[in-house]
Amino acid sequence: MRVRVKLFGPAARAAGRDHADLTLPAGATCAHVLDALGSQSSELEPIVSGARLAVNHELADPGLSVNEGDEIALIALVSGG
Amino acid sequence: MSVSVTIVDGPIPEEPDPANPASAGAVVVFQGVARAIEQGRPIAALEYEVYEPMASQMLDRIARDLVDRFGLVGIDVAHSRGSVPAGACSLRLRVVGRHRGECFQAACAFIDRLKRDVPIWKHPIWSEPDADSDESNP
Repeated sequence: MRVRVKLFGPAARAAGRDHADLTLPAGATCAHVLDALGSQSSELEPIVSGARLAVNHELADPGLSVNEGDEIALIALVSGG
Repeated sequence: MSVSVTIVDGPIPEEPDPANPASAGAVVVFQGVARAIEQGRPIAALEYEVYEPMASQMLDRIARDLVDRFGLVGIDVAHSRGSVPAGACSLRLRVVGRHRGECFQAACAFIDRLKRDVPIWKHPIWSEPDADSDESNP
Protein backbone atom coordinates (compact mmCIF):
# COMPACT_ATOMS: atom_id res chain seq x y z
CA MET A 1 0.00 0.00 0.00
CA ARG A 2 1.01 3.62 -0.48
CA VAL A 3 0.78 6.23 2.23
CA ARG A 4 1.68 9.92 2.34
CA VAL A 5 3.30 11.43 5.43
CA LYS A 6 2.94 15.18 5.96
CA LEU A 7 6.10 16.99 7.02
CA PHE A 8 6.26 20.25 8.97
CA GLY A 9 8.76 22.65 10.47
CA PRO A 10 12.36 21.44 10.70
CA ALA A 11 11.47 18.09 9.11
CA ALA A 12 10.03 19.76 6.01
CA ARG A 13 13.00 22.10 5.72
CA ALA A 14 15.46 19.22 6.13
CA ALA A 15 13.70 17.14 3.49
CA GLY A 16 13.06 20.08 1.18
CA ARG A 17 9.42 19.08 0.77
CA ASP A 18 6.20 19.01 2.76
CA HIS A 19 5.38 15.32 2.38
CA ALA A 20 6.92 11.90 1.80
CA ASP A 21 5.29 9.08 -0.14
CA LEU A 22 6.03 5.56 1.07
CA THR A 23 5.20 2.07 -0.15
CA LEU A 24 4.61 -0.30 2.74
CA PRO A 25 3.32 -3.84 3.20
CA ALA A 26 -0.27 -4.29 4.31
CA GLY A 27 -0.52 -4.24 8.10
CA ALA A 28 2.39 -1.83 8.49
CA THR A 29 2.49 0.04 11.76
CA CYS A 30 3.55 3.54 12.73
CA ALA A 31 6.94 2.13 13.73
CA HIS A 32 7.32 0.80 10.18
CA VAL A 33 6.38 4.19 8.77
CA LEU A 34 9.06 5.92 10.86
CA ASP A 35 11.65 3.33 9.84
CA ALA A 36 10.75 3.78 6.19
CA LEU A 37 10.97 7.57 6.46
CA GLY A 38 14.45 7.34 7.94
CA SER A 39 15.55 4.86 5.28
CA GLN A 40 14.17 6.95 2.44
CA SER A 41 15.86 10.19 3.44
CA SER A 42 19.20 10.67 5.16
CA GLU A 43 18.05 14.19 6.06
CA LEU A 44 15.06 12.81 7.93
CA GLU A 45 16.90 9.94 9.61
CA PRO A 46 18.09 11.92 12.66
CA ILE A 47 14.70 13.63 13.00
CA VAL A 48 12.52 10.51 12.99
CA SER A 49 14.54 9.02 15.82
CA GLY A 50 12.30 9.69 18.80
CA ALA A 51 9.61 11.33 16.68
CA ARG A 52 5.93 10.43 16.78
CA LEU A 53 3.25 10.14 14.15
CA ALA A 54 -0.26 11.49 14.15
CA VAL A 55 -2.81 9.37 12.36
CA ASN A 56 -6.03 11.13 11.47
CA HIS A 57 -5.15 13.98 13.84
CA GLU A 58 -4.44 11.79 16.88
CA LEU A 59 -1.02 11.01 18.30
CA ALA A 60 -0.48 7.33 17.53
CA ASP A 61 1.26 4.51 19.38
CA PRO A 62 4.13 2.86 17.48
CA GLY A 63 2.13 -0.35 17.17
CA LEU A 64 -0.93 1.22 15.56
CA SER A 65 -1.56 -0.10 12.04
CA VAL A 66 -1.91 2.42 9.25
CA ASN A 67 -4.11 2.15 6.19
CA GLU A 68 -4.26 3.70 2.76
CA GLY A 69 -6.17 6.95 2.98
CA ASP A 70 -5.11 7.71 6.56
CA GLU A 71 -3.87 11.24 7.14
CA ILE A 72 -0.43 10.69 8.59
CA ALA A 73 1.80 13.48 9.92
CA LEU A 74 5.29 13.45 11.38
CA ILE A 75 5.18 15.18 14.75
CA ALA A 76 8.77 16.08 15.53
CA LEU A 77 10.58 18.99 17.15
CA VAL A 78 7.40 20.92 17.95
CA SER A 79 8.04 24.42 19.25
CA GLY A 80 4.79 26.21 19.98
CA GLY A 81 4.46 29.03 22.44
CA MET B 1 -16.32 25.24 33.47
CA SER B 2 -15.39 26.96 30.23
CA VAL B 3 -12.66 26.32 27.67
CA SER B 4 -11.88 28.48 24.67
CA VAL B 5 -9.23 27.83 22.02
CA THR B 6 -8.46 30.28 19.23
CA ILE B 7 -5.86 30.23 16.45
CA VAL B 8 -5.14 33.79 15.33
CA ASP B 9 -3.47 34.85 12.09
CA GLY B 10 -0.55 37.07 13.14
CA PRO B 11 0.04 38.54 16.59
CA ILE B 12 -2.48 38.08 19.39
CA PRO B 13 -4.25 41.44 19.77
CA GLU B 14 -4.65 43.19 23.10
CA GLU B 15 -8.08 42.54 24.52
CA PRO B 16 -9.83 43.78 27.66
CA ASP B 17 -10.15 41.18 30.39
CA PRO B 18 -13.56 39.53 30.31
CA ALA B 19 -15.82 39.60 33.33
CA ASN B 20 -14.95 36.87 35.82
CA PRO B 21 -17.54 34.40 37.08
CA ALA B 22 -18.57 34.64 40.70
CA SER B 23 -16.60 31.52 41.63
CA ALA B 24 -13.29 33.00 40.40
CA GLY B 25 -10.76 34.02 43.02
CA ALA B 26 -7.61 34.03 40.88
CA VAL B 27 -6.69 34.70 37.27
CA VAL B 28 -3.25 33.86 35.89
CA VAL B 29 -2.46 35.28 32.45
CA PHE B 30 0.65 34.14 30.60
CA GLN B 31 1.80 35.77 27.38
CA GLY B 32 4.45 34.30 25.13
CA VAL B 33 6.31 36.97 23.19
CA ALA B 34 8.46 36.65 20.06
CA ARG B 35 11.98 37.20 21.39
CA ALA B 36 13.93 39.80 19.45
CA ILE B 37 17.24 37.95 19.87
CA GLU B 38 17.75 34.23 19.17
CA GLN B 39 21.14 32.55 19.40
CA GLY B 40 22.71 35.99 19.70
CA ARG B 41 21.22 37.18 16.39
CA PRO B 42 18.47 39.75 15.93
CA ILE B 43 15.26 38.46 14.45
CA ALA B 44 12.56 40.32 12.57
CA ALA B 45 9.76 37.87 13.31
CA LEU B 46 8.81 34.33 14.21
CA GLU B 47 6.87 32.35 11.63
CA TYR B 48 4.40 29.88 13.16
CA GLU B 49 3.22 26.79 11.30
CA VAL B 50 0.10 25.19 12.77
CA TYR B 51 -1.21 21.74 11.81
CA GLU B 52 -4.98 22.08 11.93
CA PRO B 53 -7.40 20.82 13.10
CA MET B 54 -5.09 18.71 15.27
CA ALA B 55 -3.47 21.68 17.03
CA SER B 56 -6.80 23.16 18.13
CA GLN B 57 -8.10 19.74 19.16
CA MET B 58 -5.03 19.10 21.31
CA LEU B 59 -5.10 22.56 22.90
CA ASP B 60 -8.75 21.98 23.76
CA ARG B 61 -8.00 18.53 25.20
CA ILE B 62 -5.11 19.80 27.32
CA ALA B 63 -7.25 22.66 28.64
CA ARG B 64 -10.12 20.33 29.54
CA ASP B 65 -7.75 17.85 31.21
CA LEU B 66 -6.26 20.60 33.36
CA VAL B 67 -9.62 22.15 34.23
CA ASP B 68 -10.73 18.73 35.51
CA ARG B 69 -7.44 17.95 37.26
CA PHE B 70 -7.17 21.25 39.13
CA GLY B 71 -10.88 22.02 39.52
CA LEU B 72 -10.53 25.24 37.58
CA VAL B 73 -13.24 27.63 36.52
CA GLY B 74 -11.88 27.80 32.97
CA ILE B 75 -9.02 28.21 30.52
CA ASP B 76 -8.83 30.45 27.47
CA VAL B 77 -5.93 30.10 25.06
CA ALA B 78 -5.06 31.90 21.85
CA HIS B 79 -2.06 30.97 19.69
CA SER B 80 -0.68 32.67 16.62
CA ARG B 81 -0.32 31.28 13.12
CA GLY B 82 1.89 32.91 10.51
CA SER B 83 4.21 35.83 11.10
CA VAL B 84 4.59 37.46 14.52
CA PRO B 85 6.96 40.46 14.64
CA ALA B 86 9.65 40.50 17.32
CA GLY B 87 8.22 41.78 20.58
CA ALA B 88 4.62 40.89 19.72
CA CYS B 89 2.46 38.35 21.53
CA SER B 90 2.19 34.86 20.03
CA LEU B 91 0.43 33.06 22.88
CA ARG B 92 -2.03 34.18 25.50
CA LEU B 93 -3.13 31.74 28.19
CA ARG B 94 -5.72 32.78 30.75
CA VAL B 95 -6.35 30.39 33.64
CA VAL B 96 -9.24 31.13 35.98
CA GLY B 97 -9.68 29.32 39.29
CA ARG B 98 -10.81 29.67 42.85
CA HIS B 99 -7.28 30.06 44.26
CA ARG B 100 -3.90 31.13 42.90
CA GLY B 101 -2.05 27.88 43.55
CA GLU B 102 -3.94 25.72 41.11
CA CYS B 103 -3.92 28.50 38.50
CA PHE B 104 -0.12 28.82 38.54
CA GLN B 105 0.32 25.03 38.47
CA ALA B 106 -2.14 24.63 35.63
CA ALA B 107 -0.51 27.41 33.60
CA CYS B 108 2.91 25.75 33.91
CA ALA B 109 1.48 22.33 33.07
CA PHE B 110 -0.34 23.74 30.05
CA ILE B 111 2.80 25.30 28.59
CA ASP B 112 4.82 22.13 29.22
CA ARG B 113 2.27 20.02 27.36
CA LEU B 114 1.90 22.56 24.55
CA LYS B 115 5.65 22.50 23.92
CA ARG B 116 5.74 18.70 24.03
CA ASP B 117 2.61 17.57 22.18
CA VAL B 118 0.88 20.29 20.15
CA PRO B 119 1.77 20.33 16.44
CA ILE B 120 2.97 23.92 16.15
CA TRP B 121 6.40 24.90 14.85
CA LYS B 122 8.15 28.25 14.87
CA HIS B 123 10.91 29.43 12.61
CA PRO B 124 12.96 32.61 13.05
CA ILE B 125 13.05 35.19 10.28
CA TRP B 126 16.44 36.78 10.80
CA SER B 127 16.88 40.53 10.55
CA GLU B 128 20.12 40.07 8.66
CA PRO B 129 21.85 37.09 7.06
CA ASP B 130 24.45 35.15 9.04
CA ALA B 131 27.84 35.74 7.43
CA ASP B 132 29.08 32.35 8.69
CA SER B 133 26.19 30.35 7.27
CA ASP B 134 24.62 29.75 3.91
CA GLU B 135 21.21 29.67 5.61
CA SER B 136 18.86 32.29 4.24
CA ASN B 137 15.39 33.37 5.12
CA PRO B 138 12.58 31.90 3.07
